[in-house]
Amino acid sequence: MMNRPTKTGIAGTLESNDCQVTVEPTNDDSLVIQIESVVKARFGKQIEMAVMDTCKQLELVGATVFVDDKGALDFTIKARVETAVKRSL
Amino acid sequence: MRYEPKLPYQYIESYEPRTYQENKTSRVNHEVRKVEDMDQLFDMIQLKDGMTISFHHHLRNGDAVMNLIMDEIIKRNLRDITVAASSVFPIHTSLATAIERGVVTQVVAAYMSGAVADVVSKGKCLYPCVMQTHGGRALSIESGKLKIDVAFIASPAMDKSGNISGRQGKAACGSLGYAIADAHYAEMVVAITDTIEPLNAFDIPKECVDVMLHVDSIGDPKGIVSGTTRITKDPVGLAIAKRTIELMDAVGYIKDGLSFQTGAGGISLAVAAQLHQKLSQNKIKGSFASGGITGYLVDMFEEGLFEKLYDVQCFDLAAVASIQKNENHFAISASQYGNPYNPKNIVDQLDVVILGASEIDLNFNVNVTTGFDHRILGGSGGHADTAFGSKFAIIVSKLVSSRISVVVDQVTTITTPGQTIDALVTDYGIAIHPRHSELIEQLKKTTRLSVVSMKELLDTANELCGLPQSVLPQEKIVALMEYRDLSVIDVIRQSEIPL
Amino acid sequence: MSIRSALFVPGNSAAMVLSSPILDADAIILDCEDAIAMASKDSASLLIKHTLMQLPRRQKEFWVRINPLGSDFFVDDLNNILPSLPDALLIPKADGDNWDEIIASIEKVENKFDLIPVDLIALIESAKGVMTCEKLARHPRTKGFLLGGEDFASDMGIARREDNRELLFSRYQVVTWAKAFKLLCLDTPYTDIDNLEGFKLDCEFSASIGFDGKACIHPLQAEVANVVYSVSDDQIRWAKEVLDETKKQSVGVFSFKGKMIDRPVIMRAEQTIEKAKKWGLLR
Repeated sequence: MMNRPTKTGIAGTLESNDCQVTVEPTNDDSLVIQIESVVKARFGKQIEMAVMDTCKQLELVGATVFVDDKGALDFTIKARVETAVKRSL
Repeated sequence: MRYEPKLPYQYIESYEPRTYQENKTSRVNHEVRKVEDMDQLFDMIQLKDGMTISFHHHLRNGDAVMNLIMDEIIKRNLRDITVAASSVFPIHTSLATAIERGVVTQVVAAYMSGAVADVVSKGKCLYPCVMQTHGGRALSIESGKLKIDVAFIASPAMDKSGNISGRQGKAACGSLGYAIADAHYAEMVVAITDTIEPLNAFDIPKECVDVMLHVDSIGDPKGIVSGTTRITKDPVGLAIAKRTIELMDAVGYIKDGLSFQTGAGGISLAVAAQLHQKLSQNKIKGSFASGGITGYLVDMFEEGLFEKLYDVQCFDLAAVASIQKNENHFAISASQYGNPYNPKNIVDQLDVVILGASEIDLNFNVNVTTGFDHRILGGSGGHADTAFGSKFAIIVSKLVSSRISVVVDQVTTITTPGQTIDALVTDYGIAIHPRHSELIEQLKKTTRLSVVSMKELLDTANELCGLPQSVLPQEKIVALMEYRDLSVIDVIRQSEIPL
Repeated sequence: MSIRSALFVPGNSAAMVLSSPILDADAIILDCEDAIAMASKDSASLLIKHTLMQLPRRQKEFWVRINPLGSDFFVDDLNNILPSLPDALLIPKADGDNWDEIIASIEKVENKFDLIPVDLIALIESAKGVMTCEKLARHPRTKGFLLGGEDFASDMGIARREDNRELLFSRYQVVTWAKAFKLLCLDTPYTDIDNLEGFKLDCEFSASIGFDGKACIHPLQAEVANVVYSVSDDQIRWAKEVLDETKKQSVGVFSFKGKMIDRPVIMRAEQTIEKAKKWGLLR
């Protein structure tokens, strides 16, 4: 079963070592991921992968996922994405 | 005139003492000329295109003098000026403007942050800048390699005849250690003050001063305490500090006669606070503390835990208050502090120094000058000087903060060579330089300290953060890393990342 | 299980969760309950889940305090946390009346994910919990007790005192039942984090009546607890000597350095060495 957001879901903080994730519904089936990060040059690919993996596991569609990262490790990113997605359903 | 260090770096175990002659103090019947305003000042000093001017940074981020002078130089449309400042802070925005307009074409400094660091990192400065050490800067001036045409000295207080004191006045900053070489060796010395009153003591005698200018304000003393001079409250930082003290104890340095220096980072200050406890509990009396002096060191000194303070720079107002009243709190010059050829330099007499790092690599090389993106964020200051001089140089840092590991394969920029570093204390263990193989065995056998290799720390960091992508710079060299003996230890290239 | 210090860490702070592995505590209790605001319960539970799945654990136990039975978050917590394999669950508001239902809920989730049974620590923090702890102690899934003095006092309608005299009965009751069934028993947190001296005295008393360790709310407390509830160098030396001597002797009871050595003394010496090994105190 696909999961489709019905409202905005936000999770996490902008403190260092954390990230804030915002999930918004879109009008189609697309999944758009946007990443801002203080360590984008070093870990941009890993962050994108962590976000993508989590969205896939949650079978998310019809969503924009925006991550504002302040140096969170992968497990924090995954937790914040999962929380924001669940809050948006 | 462009300053171009050329000698390649090579590790040297000790430096033969040398002395350099200054001849200003023997001037007889010298009179300081007084000017009323900027026009008169610039008429008198005849500053020309291509000249080198200098500043000190004792007012840190509260300094008004450099901006005052740079604004005037921009207005007068001078070109190709070299600025030799002991350090550059975020407040120095006029210098950034001057670089962007080609008015200033080279900066020589021991530390830079803020707008100037950004324009230099972006490659906006015509010639490569030179990142010095505090001791190296003194050496470059005393040896005549860095020739200063005009030194502008922010002077917290002057008497009518032109003597200078850092200890009095509206913007009292204590020691004027970084300005001493400039005062003695510059072709022309301009003292700028906002306080003219009788002085209790001189930091720079009038014989060194050519011109004095009275202005409304030389700066805001609140800016002296800028950024880093606060103790950490983070339990992890405190735990690192505690292990550092245990390490110092295990290596045998916590005993009568200890000489000690610490940087002004949060964890370094926590080490000072915990050393305080340790010394007073065990009734141990150290000989001296040196460097940038903070209130923490003043407290220890006033309790008799150190006999003397050697102060090249006051980091906070408590240090300023102490130097005003305490006889054994000595102001020293940057040369007495860290010039490798100065026969009595203080750093060579240090037992232990506690320092920070933004990167440290498998060879123990340390970077405190740039970020991983090659962007300039600071500089040696006394880092390389004290690491060389001290018997035991300890780097303290969290292994990972905000996904960035302090331990790396290879530092982006070498500020301080690994041969001069002895230990790294992190929350994930302590790495000792492999040349101390006996000490490593002893610590493993007789203490509960977690001694690990640098490689193990790197592996742990990679396990936590993932493998970082490397960030390559552009071709253009924006700055040379000048070691304390004036050799070139590394270069900084233009940062690829938009700032 | 031998734990001298168990440190509470709020489960929703990424920075604190990240730094917890290197703090001076034998166990870290990642908290979903009292330290977390209602609006962040989901967030804490999921952060703990992902942390446990990925953080290198090394020589430290990671426990999770879940929300209590009957709260909106109890089942979600179990579903999030159990599959990520915590070393133990700390169950708040435990008593003899609700324990069977709690364990049934846990086993349901364990069966769903096909998990090895997790260690359970009962947080005894009510008058009923104190008076029915025999049933908790007798249950085969129970691995330990933690006494919660704050909630106990409010349940009793009494004020906390600096000398903890109001906890005397509950402390003896809980620790004696724990020991009767060889369970770990941890003492109530000491809430004045600035008074380390008072904390130390409190630990010394609780250690003297049999508590194995202390629940801590600040890393500095954990450091102190690790010393008070530990074995001293002298104890380690004595234990080594006793065990060496035992090997040489052929009889069960003998005299050594003027003291009678028999089976209980030898067992205590073995326990001392075992603890010293676990805490890295043997050189």
